[in-house]
Amino acid sequence: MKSSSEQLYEEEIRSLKDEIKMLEEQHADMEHSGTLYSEEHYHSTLASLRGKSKKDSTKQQAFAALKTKLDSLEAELKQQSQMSGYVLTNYSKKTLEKSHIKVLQQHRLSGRCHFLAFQIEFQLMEVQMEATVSTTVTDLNIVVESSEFTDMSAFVSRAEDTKSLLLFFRTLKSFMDWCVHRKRTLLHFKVG
Amino acid sequence: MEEAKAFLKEDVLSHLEMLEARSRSLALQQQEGLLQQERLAELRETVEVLQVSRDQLRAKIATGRAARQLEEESDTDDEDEESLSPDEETLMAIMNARVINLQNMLQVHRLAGFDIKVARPGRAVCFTVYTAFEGIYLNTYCLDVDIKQIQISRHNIPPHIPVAELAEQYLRQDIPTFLSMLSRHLNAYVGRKYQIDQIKEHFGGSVLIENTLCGMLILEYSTCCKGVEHKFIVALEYRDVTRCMPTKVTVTFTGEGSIPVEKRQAQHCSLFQQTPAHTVLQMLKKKGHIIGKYTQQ
Repeated sequence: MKSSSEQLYEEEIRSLKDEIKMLEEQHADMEHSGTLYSEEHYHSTLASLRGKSKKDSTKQQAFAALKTKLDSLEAELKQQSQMSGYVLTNYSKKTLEKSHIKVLQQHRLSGRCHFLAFQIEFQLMEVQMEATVSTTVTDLNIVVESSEFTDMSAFVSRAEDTKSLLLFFRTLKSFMDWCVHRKRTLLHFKVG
Repeated sequence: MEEAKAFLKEDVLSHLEMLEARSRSLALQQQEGLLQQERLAELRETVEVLQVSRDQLRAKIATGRAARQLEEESDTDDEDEESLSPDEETLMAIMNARVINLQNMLQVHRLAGFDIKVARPGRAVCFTVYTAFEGIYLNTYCLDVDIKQIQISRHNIPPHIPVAELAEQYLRQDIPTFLSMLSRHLNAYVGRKYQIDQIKEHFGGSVLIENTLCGMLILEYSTCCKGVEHKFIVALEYRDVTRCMPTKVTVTFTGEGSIPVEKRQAQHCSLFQQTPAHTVLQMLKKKGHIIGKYTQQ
């Protein structure tokens, strides 16, 4: 014998579960189509919005907290870019497969190391093991704008074949540092 | 009188019975009431949890939509600024999407090999070096660096990697260069170790000698050439500690020499020079060049 409150709760639970299912489907669709996020777009949109938004005092705190988090992440990214020698200009991610122990995602990004532009698309699989998560690159495609450097293309194909994402980035930096150094040296001699 | 007494007794008894019954039913009702309260409390909790999930999903979807919409709008018209009707929510949705995007980009930086965290602003920084062999991510190493004195205060790098020497040579000049050199050493070591671990796992009997730095590896396997069985002994020297491929490969065999055996010896030697050792063994096993019992992968 159920009371009317019980019935009301149970109805609400049913309707919430239905709504959640529908929202999850919508969210999965969105993730599936992927969103390509551009640095330029973001900054210009934010700049044009900031001037005009009417601030609601009740939301000030949430807004301020979000702004702080954003600022600290931006600072972290800037530090990372300085340390690693390259800058990411575009990024998107798409989940291809997901289970409670395994996630397979496709990442697409473009970036620049000194004056060399590159685009990378890779698939990353993360599997939950007993104590840790194992991370593996399962597919790798690299496009390097290399009009001058033919040595790069042999290296790039090898990196793609062996899925060596980390090695690619490390080598890219060393190679570009060397190129910049060489250009400077040549310039120095030219002028002199 | 007797009748009256009897009548009263009956009445009292029945009254008592009635009271007993009532008290039992009250107890039952109380129990039911408590149970129902518990049920209601549970249901209320479930409703709250579901509401939180639903709100989170709504926020995620709104964020994605707003971000994409504004991207599309800013794509199409630059002149007509008035068409954007911004409000606090949209701004926050954009910022939220931006937070996720930044976190993703930081993940890419980690996959590319390094992470930096400010431990104490202006004082100490913690660097993390990630290692991988081909596409497989392996060990992670951390260093705490005092940036005022420019020295390493703490690290978890194994002793056979010359951290102190590298620090002396590069740390003061240029932290990125130091990290780059360290990463090279660490990745090479981890790569060599991975190959050896794989060989041990799939070809356990083959490994004769290895050392801590994984700078030397001696393998042994049996091969059958034109019906004659020979033992091949492969010595791999990794003299360059910044590489995970051998600097020198020597293949020797037991038994009578012959042209086919020498041909195979050369073949194997060349393979070990170009391809990671564990992959070579797998290839040879598939080709039938390795005989004997080894665990299948």
